[in-house]
Amino acid sequence: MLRLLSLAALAACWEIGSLFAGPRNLPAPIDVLRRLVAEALSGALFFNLGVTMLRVAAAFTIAMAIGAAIGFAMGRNRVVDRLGDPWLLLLLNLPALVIIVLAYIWIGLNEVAAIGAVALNKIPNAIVTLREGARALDPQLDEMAAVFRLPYATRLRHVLTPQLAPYFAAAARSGLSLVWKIVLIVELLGRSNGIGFEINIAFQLFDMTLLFAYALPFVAIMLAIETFVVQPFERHISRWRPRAA
Amino acid sequence: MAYSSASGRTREALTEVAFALDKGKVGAIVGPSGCGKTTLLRIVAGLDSRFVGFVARPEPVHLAVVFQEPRLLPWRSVEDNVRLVVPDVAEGEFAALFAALGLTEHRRHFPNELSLGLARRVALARALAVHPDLLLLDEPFASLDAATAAALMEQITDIVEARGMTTLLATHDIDAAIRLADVVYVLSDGPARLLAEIEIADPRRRLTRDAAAGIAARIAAAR
Repeated sequence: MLRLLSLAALAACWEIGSLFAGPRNLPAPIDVLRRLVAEALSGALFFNLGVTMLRVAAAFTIAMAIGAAIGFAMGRNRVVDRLGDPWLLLLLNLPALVIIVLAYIWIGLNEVAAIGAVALNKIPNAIVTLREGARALDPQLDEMAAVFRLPYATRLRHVLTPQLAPYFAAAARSGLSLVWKIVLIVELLGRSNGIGFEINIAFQLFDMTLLFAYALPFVAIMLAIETFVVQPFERHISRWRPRAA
Repeated sequence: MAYSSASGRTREALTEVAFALDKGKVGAIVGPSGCGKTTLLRIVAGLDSRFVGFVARPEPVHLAVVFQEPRLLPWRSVEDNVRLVVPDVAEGEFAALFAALGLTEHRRHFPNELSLGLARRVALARALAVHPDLLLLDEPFASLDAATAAALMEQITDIVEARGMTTLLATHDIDAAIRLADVVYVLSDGPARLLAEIEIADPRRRLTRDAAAGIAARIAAAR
C-alpha cells in the first residue's frame, strides 16, 4: 500500500516536473505511455526488449559460470590464487568502457564482442564473491564427509553447493544489475538493435519520449526479475538459517 | 591397533604413545584438556597424516566418528543428515535407531533447532547408521548438563553392549571413562605420553562401586 502511494507520488512529481521543464525536456507520463503503446503495437518495443534480454541472459550465464569456476579454484588453491590475483586486480580496475571499446576493436562490431565484453566486466566480481565463498567452506564438514567416505557427487551436491549457494546468489544479484546496465552501453556503442540502440537514437534526435518509452519497461522487467526470481531464490537457499532477531 | 609417537608441524602433541585395542572392546583415552586426545583420535581416523609412527587397523576398516562439534549439515533435517551417509537404509532400521536415541520426535527438525545434547545424539545416530567396525567418540559428554550427559551415557552403554563394536573414546571425564570402557589409557599432560593402561575386568553395568573407586584411584596414582 505504502509502496503504491510512493509510486503515485513519483508519478505526480513527474507530471508536475514536466509542466515546469516543458515536454521537450521531460515529457508528461501520459505522452510516454502513448508512445510506449505505439512502440509496442508496432512490435519494435518487444523486438528490442527481446534482443537486449537475450544479451543480458547470455552475458550473465557466461560470466557466472566462468567467474564461479575460477573463483572456486582460487579460493581452494593457494597457488592458483597467487597466480590469478594480479589478473583479477587488473580486470577489477579496468573501466567497463575500455573493455567494451577494446572488444569492438579487436573482435569487431559483432555479437561475440558485445556479449564477451559484458561478461568480462562481470567475471571479476563473480570471482571475488565465489572466492570468498570457497574460502569460507567449513573444513569440519569436509572432514565429516571424508570420514563417512561420501561419494564425490554427494559431497559436491549436499556439502559444498549449499555452502556456496549464498555467495552464488549474492554474485548473481549484483551481477544481474551490473550486466543489464553494461549491456545498454554495449548496444549504444556498437549494435544496431536493442534498448541501448534505441536510446542512442532518442539521444541523437533529442526524443525524450522515445527514451522514456524504452527505458521504463526495461527497468520494470529487470525489477520484476529481481523481485520475483532472484530474491525468492535467495530466500529459498537460506531457508534453513535461523531468522535474525 | 598400534600407534606410536606423533609430531605436529608447530608443536609436539604426542610422544611415546603406543597401545593396542582388542576387537569389540571399548577403549577410553583420558588426560587433561589439550594433551592431545583429539589429535590421537584424528590420527586413528586418518584425518591427520602429519605424524611419525603407525596406525594398524583391520583392513578394510569401516569407521565412524562422533566429533566434539556435531558437524551436521545445517540445511538438512535430522533425518536427512543421517540419510546422507546411508542413502538406502530400510525405514524400520531407521526408526529403531532414532527411537533408541530418543530422536523420533526430532526427525524433521533442523540442526539449528536442536540443543547441543540432541545434536550430538544425531551425530551419534549418523555414526551408528553406517554400522562401523570402529567407532570414535571425541568428548561425547563435554559441555552437556549432568542429566543430559547421564542420559547419553545410558544410551551409549546400551548400544555398545548390544552391538559389541570396537569403540575408542577420548574424554577428560574420568568417571565417564571408567563407566564406559573395557580399558582406560591414561595420558600425561601434553606432549602426551601413555602413563598407564588399566583393564577393567567387569566393565559397565557389572562394574561395582568399589571396583570403580579402585580404578579411579589407580588412574589418579598414575598421573
